[in-house]
Amino acid sequence: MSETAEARTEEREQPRMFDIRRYEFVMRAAQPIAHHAESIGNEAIVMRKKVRCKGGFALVPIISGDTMRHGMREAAAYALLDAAGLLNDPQLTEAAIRLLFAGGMVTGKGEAAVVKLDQYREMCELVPSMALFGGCANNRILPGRLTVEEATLICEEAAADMPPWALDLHRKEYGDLDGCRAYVEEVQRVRMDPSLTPHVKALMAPSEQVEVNARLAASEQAHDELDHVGADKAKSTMMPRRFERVCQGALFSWGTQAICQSDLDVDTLNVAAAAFLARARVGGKRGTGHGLLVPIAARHIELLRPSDTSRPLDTKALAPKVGQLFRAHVAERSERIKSFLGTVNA
Amino acid sequence: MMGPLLVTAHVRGAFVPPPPMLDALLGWAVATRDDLPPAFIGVRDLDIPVRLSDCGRVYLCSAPQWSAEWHDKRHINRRFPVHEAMLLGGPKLRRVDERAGPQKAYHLPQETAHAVNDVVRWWCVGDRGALLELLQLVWHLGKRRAVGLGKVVRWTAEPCEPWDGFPVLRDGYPLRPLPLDWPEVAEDSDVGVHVLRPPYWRHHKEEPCWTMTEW
Repeated sequence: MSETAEARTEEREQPRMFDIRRYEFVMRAAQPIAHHAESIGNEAIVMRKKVRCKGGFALVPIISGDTMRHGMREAAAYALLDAAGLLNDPQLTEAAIRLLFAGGMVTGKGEAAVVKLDQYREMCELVPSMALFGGCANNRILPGRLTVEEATLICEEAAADMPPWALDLHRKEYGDLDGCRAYVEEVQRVRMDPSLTPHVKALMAPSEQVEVNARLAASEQAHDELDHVGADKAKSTMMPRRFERVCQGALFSWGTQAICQSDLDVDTLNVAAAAFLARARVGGKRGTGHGLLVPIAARHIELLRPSDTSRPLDTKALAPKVGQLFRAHVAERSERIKSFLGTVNA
Repeated sequence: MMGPLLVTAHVRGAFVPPPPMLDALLGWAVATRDDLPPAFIGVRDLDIPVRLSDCGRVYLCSAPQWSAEWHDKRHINRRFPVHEAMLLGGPKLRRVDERAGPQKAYHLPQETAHAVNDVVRWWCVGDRGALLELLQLVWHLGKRRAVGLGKVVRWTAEPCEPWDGFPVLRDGYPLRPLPLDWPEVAEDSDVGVHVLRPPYWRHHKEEPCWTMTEW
């Protein structure tokens, strides 16, 4: 048995911890949230879920669990690359990018029926977030131990599902809960046609200007003659579109839970949560002032403990303190991680 | 102490139907508790607190008993991380094709359901204390649980009155997939092809068996 394999066997023989960690957060939309489920016509509709409430079901705005989980996975991936010194000279393969940022996939290459346990353990050791998030590498699906819930708008309809402390916080800060419709606004934006702006048009080649002028004339004529086909052919590229968004200042309740079997697991979970929350952006239109979420309160609840109590967690203090173990673990193995990421099949 | 039980999961919100079999849930809980690597699951039997049938082919527990009050549809979106590829990709990563191949983007519909009264039930012959202890590890049911679907807020297991054929037959009709030579099965019961013991994803273990009508 090689020294590394021996060391890993010894590691496994040590008593393992079994800690179910649950973090609950209340997050404030510091900007409007444009997280959409679909478009109907030229209007984008906010992502909602059905919630059972008094008198039936209601559709309540959410930020999907997939979005929140992806945010955590992405944050953990950047933290790993940073700690391994791979951000300075990134040379990742397609498979490595897919593994770190999307969890990998079944590629069909390799022998999935044969599971090399040493390889599995080495992968969990080299990429600690794989053990928590799960994924798919070397043609085999690896189960994860992390559950990330949807961030649900704190509103009247969803109140029954909310942690009581989150409701208390809302009442203290904002007063009574409103119905979910009160938090959704509908706005319109227009993509302008630059050829309609005179000073931009002046930058065009003369022949192009003639073409644009001819199109405008044709459009006016078609409009005067009620020629809809002609108007459609000569129309500009200006595009008004509407979308729903959850208003700024709305509060969301969010929870995540993981089974941690080592101190490294705990630190990896903290790194993923803290790094994500430090700059949590969700949904679309991020380039135009949408999607920023800021955690304003949190509870760290250690389940399966005799006291089973909750205590406040200082979200601002979380980021600088966590990650020491994670960073040291990854830095120590940076060469092996680089080699693993260069050859992984995912 | 094994006895007849009615196990209930009190669910909050939607889940991906159908809910899993009870023996599968308990097997998952044991594997999680003992940190068994993926290869172990299915290679050897896991010690779960539900009685095996005398023939040793099925666990004495019913399939999930539930009905849907409301169905819904959501989508699974999968996109290759193009931004990260541009930022971090090496020289070998020269093109990204989202229309086909390993980088193909998906938008897959997925059915979800709300159960009547938000409860899913199983009958079984099992050890109540050990069963509840293991079920505390199951906080979400079904597929897509990693992203919050199928949240379980509470588990209960109550002793119940058994009947003839409990808990796998009721009035002669199967409450779970049963081998074709199982005694006292009504002749007009449905026949299907299923795996008889967990893990139920081992499709190469499927065999003809008596099955529930709704399946």
